[in-house]
Amino acid sequence: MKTCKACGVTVENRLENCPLCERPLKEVTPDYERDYPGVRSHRRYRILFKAVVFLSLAVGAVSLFIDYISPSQMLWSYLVVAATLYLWVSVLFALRSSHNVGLMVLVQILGLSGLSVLVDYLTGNHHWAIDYVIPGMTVLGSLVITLTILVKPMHFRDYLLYQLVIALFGLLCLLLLWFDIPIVRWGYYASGFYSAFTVLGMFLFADRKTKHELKKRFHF
Amino acid sequence: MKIKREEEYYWQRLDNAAKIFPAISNRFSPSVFRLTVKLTSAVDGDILQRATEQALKDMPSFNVKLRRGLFWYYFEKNFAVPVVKEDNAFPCRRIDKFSDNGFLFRVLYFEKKINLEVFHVLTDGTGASHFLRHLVYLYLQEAFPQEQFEEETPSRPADSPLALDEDSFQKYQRLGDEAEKPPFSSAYHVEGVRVFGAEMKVVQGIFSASQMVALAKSKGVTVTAYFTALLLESIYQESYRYHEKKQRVSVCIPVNLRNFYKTDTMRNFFSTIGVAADFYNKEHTFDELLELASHQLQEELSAKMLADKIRYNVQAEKNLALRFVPLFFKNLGLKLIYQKGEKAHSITLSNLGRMTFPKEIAAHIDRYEFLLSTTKSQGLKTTAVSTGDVMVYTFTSNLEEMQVAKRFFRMLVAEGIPVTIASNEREEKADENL
Repeated sequence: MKTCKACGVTVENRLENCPLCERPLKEVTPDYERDYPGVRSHRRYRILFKAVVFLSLAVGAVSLFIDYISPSQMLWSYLVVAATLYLWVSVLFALRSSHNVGLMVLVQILGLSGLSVLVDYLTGNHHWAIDYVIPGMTVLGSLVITLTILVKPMHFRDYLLYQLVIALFGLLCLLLLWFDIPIVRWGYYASGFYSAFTVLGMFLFADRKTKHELKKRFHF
Repeated sequence: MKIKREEEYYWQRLDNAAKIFPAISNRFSPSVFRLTVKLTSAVDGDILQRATEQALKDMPSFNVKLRRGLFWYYFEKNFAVPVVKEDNAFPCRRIDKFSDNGFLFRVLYFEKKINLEVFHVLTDGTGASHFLRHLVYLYLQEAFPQEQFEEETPSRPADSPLALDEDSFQKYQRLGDEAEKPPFSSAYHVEGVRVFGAEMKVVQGIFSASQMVALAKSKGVTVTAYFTALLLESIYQESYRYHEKKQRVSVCIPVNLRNFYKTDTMRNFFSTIGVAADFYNKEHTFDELLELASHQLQEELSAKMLADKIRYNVQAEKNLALRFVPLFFKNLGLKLIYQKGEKAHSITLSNLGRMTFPKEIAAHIDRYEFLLSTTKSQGLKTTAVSTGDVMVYTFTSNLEEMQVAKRFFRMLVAEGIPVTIASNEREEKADENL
C-alpha cells in the first residue's frame, strides 16, 4: 500500500508514481493488490501487416511504371496488380472467415473468374475464360456448398444465403448469352440448369428452413 | 449435439437502443462495458468455465449471436461453447463476430476478479448485472461446496423467455406525445494527448458508500447529483478555464427505465439525460453547481420527458422510409447520429446504484466495479456502483492526462472521505516507434 501526499489518497497497486498526479508515491505497507494485467502488445502483427501493404503498393506501382515506359504490347503489369489484389482478398478472407465455407467459395468464384478473364484478355483473347471458367466455377462452387450443407446440416442457416447467391449468379450469367458474349454456349446452359435445380431442390427438400432463413434475412 | 427445434428456429429482432451499437462499434469506440466482482479469494478458471456454461443454459437471453439481414441485424441462438480466459490485455476491448465464438460477451478472470464484458447490443448494465449475479452464485456453489448459498429469487419470472426478450421501448412508446427532435448543442470536450492504439486507461477510487451518502445528504442532494457537480467543477477547474469556449460543460447520465416502467426484460431499456452548466464568462461556486445539478436532474427525471424520448426513438425506427434502407446505408446514418450524440456531452456518469447479495454470497465479495469503454468523441467516461459499504467510482479514459480524476478525488478527500486508488497504469509505456 502506498500513499500520495499531494492527493491525500492511498494506492493499492505497486506503482512508482501516483496515477492521478504523477508524483512519487511513498510506501506504507509492503502488501499490494494486482488488479489489472500487463497490457498485451499487438504491435508486431500490425507492423507486419503494414509492411506487406507497403510492399504490395510498391511492387504494383513499379510494375505499372515499367510497363508504361516499355515498348512491348502485352500489359503484364495489369496481371501483377490483379494477382496481388486477388492474393490480398483471398488471404484476408481466409484469416478472418476460415470457418465460413460459403463466403470463401463465393470470394474464390468471383476472384478467380475475374482473374482468369483478365489473363485470357491479355494472352490473346482466346475466350476460354468466359466460355469455360465462369460457368465451370459457378457449378463447382455451388456443388461444394451443397455438399457442405449435406455433411454439416447444423450449419444450414450459415450456408443457405451463399447457396442462393451463387445460384442467382449462375442464372444471371445466362444474360451473357442474350448479349451473345460467349462463343461456346453449352457451358452456360449447364450452369443455368444446375443453378435452377439447386434452388428447386432447396425449396422442395428444405422448404421450412429455407423460408425461415429468408424471412430472417429480409425482415424489415 | 442435439439441438432443440425451437432453438434452431429462434430469432429475435434487436431492441430499439441496441440497433445503433453494431453500426458504430470499432476498435476505438467498442461500446463494450465491463462488470467486475472482486472476490476475497483467487478465482479458479476451470470452475468459472463450468459456471459460465451453466449460467448460459439458465439465462438463454445471453446465448445468442448477431447476424446481418438485408435491412436490420438480428439475433439467433449460438450453439458454440463460451471460452473463459485469463485477462491479459486492457479492459473493454471490441467484441466482434470473430472473437469469443460469436458470443456478444466475454468472461475473463484475473487474480481475485471475475470480469464480465458485454457488447451493448446485447443488454445494458442492469441486464448484465442479473447474469453476473447468477454467474457468481454458480461459481461460489462449486468453489465452496461446504457452504450453503442461496440465490436471491429475482422478482422477474425467470422462466418466461418472452418476458426476458421483450423490447420494452416498443411496449411503452404509446405513452408519449408526438415527439419532436430534441435540441442539440455541442459540449465542451476535455483536451489531451490520445493514448497510443486502442488502449484504455482506468483509474478507480474506492471509498465508503455510507460516508458518501451522508456527505450528499448533508448538502441536500442525491449521490448522483453530488457526483455530477464534482464532475462539472473538476472539468471547469482542470480544463475549461484554460481553453475557454462558448460551449457548455455537459454530463450525460444514463437512466434505467426499469425504475419508471414495469418490465422484466433482460435487453436494453435505458435513456439518457443531460446536466449542463454554462461557464462562459461566468464562474459558479461548488454549492451553485450542486443546486444546478440537483434541479436539472429532478426536472429531467420526469416520466413525461422520458416517455417523449422513448417515443421519438421508436418513431424513428418504425418510419417506413427508413426501414427499407439497406443495412449498409443505415449503418452510415447511425454512425453520424451517434457521433453527434457523443459530441453533445463532455463526459458520461453512469450510476448503477447498489448491488445487493444474500449474506453468504456477500461474505465472499470484496467489491463490485463497472467500466465503460470510451469513444473517439468522448474520451472520458465515469461510473459509480456500490455493494455493501464499498463504493467504486471509475474513470476510463483514452487520454494520457488524468487531471479531471485528480481534482475529483482530491475534492472527496477534502470532504473527509478516505479514498483508495486502483489503476491499470503501467510503468513501461508501449513504444510508438518501431
